[in-house]
Amino acid sequence: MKIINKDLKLFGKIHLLDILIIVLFLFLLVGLVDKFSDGKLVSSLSGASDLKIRVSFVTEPYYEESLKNIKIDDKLVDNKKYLDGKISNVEIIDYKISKLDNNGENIVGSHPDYKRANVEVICTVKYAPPVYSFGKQEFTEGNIVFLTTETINLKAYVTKIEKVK
Amino acid sequence: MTNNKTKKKKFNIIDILAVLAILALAILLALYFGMKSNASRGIKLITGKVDLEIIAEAEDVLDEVAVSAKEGDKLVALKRVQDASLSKVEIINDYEISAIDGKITKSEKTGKKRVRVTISAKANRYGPYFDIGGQKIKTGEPYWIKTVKFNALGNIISVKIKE
Repeated sequence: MKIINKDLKLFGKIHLLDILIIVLFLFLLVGLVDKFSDGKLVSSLSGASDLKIRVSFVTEPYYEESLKNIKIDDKLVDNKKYLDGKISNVEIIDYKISKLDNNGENIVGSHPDYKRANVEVICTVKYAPPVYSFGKQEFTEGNIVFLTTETINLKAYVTKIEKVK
Repeated sequence: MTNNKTKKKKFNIIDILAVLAILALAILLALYFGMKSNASRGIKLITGKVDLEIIAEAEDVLDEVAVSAKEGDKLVALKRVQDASLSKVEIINDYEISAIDGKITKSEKTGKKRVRVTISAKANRYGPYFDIGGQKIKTGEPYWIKTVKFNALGNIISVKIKE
């Protein structure tokens, strides 16, 4: 007996399109339950739980004008979606560089245009030890991530992760 | 004859319609619950047009090209004039950072300019996402500054939402 016969029926009993519809229904059902539970179904299957953390970042060098767009209380976003996190502190700092001068001396000084910013964020992440997932990004000390709000999308390094009580 | 034709029919139009209806329903529900998820965090998704003031800058622009950026020129994208124009154009000599006599300093690059433009625009908004002619608008993003007579790849330096 053929697995799929000439009428496109599996073992001569059920049509392939019917199977497709059943599979789609199952996906829809799982998707709905997951959405109703605000993503907790998929998280619980992966063993992840919600965790409130404070994350510290240092940005790549940008114009000071750009860094002034990082505003306290601005919500973090992921493309067209708001995430459960906001900027809690911003400090703009010098960007130190070193160059050899015309006398062969190594000169260390502040970049005349660019600065960096130390940024703190308080957010709720999906935590499946040892991974902290936030939207599509993963927070690990040393990771390069994007700090994204309505008006900024700046590259930054994760420097510290602390749990918030 | 007619019976044979019916037997050879492999796809039922009703099945196909059912599949399409389920797909459409799944997409609509995902969009609906996506919005509901934002709403549960007390966030109202705003869609439509938003007035923005954007500062963008292109480096390493040839002298001959830089002079073509003019105040008042409309932006062009997707082969169309956009609802956005250059409200201010600053052209300065481009430079690189070097050290001279013990000091970090700026050294001029010959034949190259930095073109910094302020753009007043009505951008498309979907929640926290803004775009003009398909280009995402956020500080730090690369940006093509393109008018009818000028075109250079730069970066967005600043974005302000006009109230």
